Amino acid sequence: MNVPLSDRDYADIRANVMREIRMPDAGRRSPGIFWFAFAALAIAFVVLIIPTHRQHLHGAARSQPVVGGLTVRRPRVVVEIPTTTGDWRVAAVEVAAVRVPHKRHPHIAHKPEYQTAVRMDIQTADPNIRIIWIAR
Amino acid sequence: MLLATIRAVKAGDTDAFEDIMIATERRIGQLAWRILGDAEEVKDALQETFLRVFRHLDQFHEERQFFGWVFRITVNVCRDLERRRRWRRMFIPIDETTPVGRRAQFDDALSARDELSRAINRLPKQERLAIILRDIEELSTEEVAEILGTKETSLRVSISKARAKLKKWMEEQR
Repeated sequence: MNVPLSDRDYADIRANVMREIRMPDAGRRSPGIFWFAFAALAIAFVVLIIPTHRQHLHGAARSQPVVGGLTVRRPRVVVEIPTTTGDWRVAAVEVAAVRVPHKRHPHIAHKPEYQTAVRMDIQTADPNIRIIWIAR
Repeated sequence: MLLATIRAVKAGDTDAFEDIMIATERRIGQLAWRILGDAEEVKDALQETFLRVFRHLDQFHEERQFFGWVFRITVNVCRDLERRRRWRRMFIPIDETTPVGRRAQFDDALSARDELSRAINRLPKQERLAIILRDIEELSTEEVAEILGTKETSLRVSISKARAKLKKWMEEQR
């Protein structure tokens, strides 16, 4: 049972092999390329996907403004009150849910808790003095 | 002669690899043909085998028999191709999976001399490879065991079983 290959077939195979191995680094390219691609994908995942995911989970709270040292959770409600009382004027009242740090472990990450906070800006007759009242 | 060429390739003479291919291609082709039985797949097997030989030539130790080492690579390449063929058959409609039919027709056209080859093709894969490498390629039991990744004792059992089956089938033909 002889191989049904001609001399031409063998010559073609040799030519293909020689073409392949003469290419720069062709001899060792397959495993190298595979591991390089794998490493690149892993790095891309760590650099791009994980921070995006974390931002999705926690970023909103981080980027929000701070009221009385507490992070404000959106949506907040800003109420403009144009009335004035004597020399004082209520400039703005802001109602928002604020993120409250854990009572006993304020520096340790816990499931966030929120409380409703009210901030009232009261403008006095002196334009340089504004009273900010925060209640929660 | 072959050893000198191998040393030259190891030293960086890429062109010398063509001489290695010329010296080995017929035996490798014969082995691949016995395992695969399909001319197109034999071409793929030869090409892939030579590429692997080139890539791993620095791992070949001169105290070993070169053909034993090359045959081991050939058997692995053929196993990969057979695995790929099985996957292809799972996704190709039945009427397109003609190699078996072609092979049968081709086998029918063979002379009585090739009855033994047909009988070998009926053997289970491991026994078929063992018989091809031990009795046709005439490698030592130790080399065949190394190529197939089995113990010599279990290889001897496989070869013995395979020879008994072949003897029985050949007697039934007469």
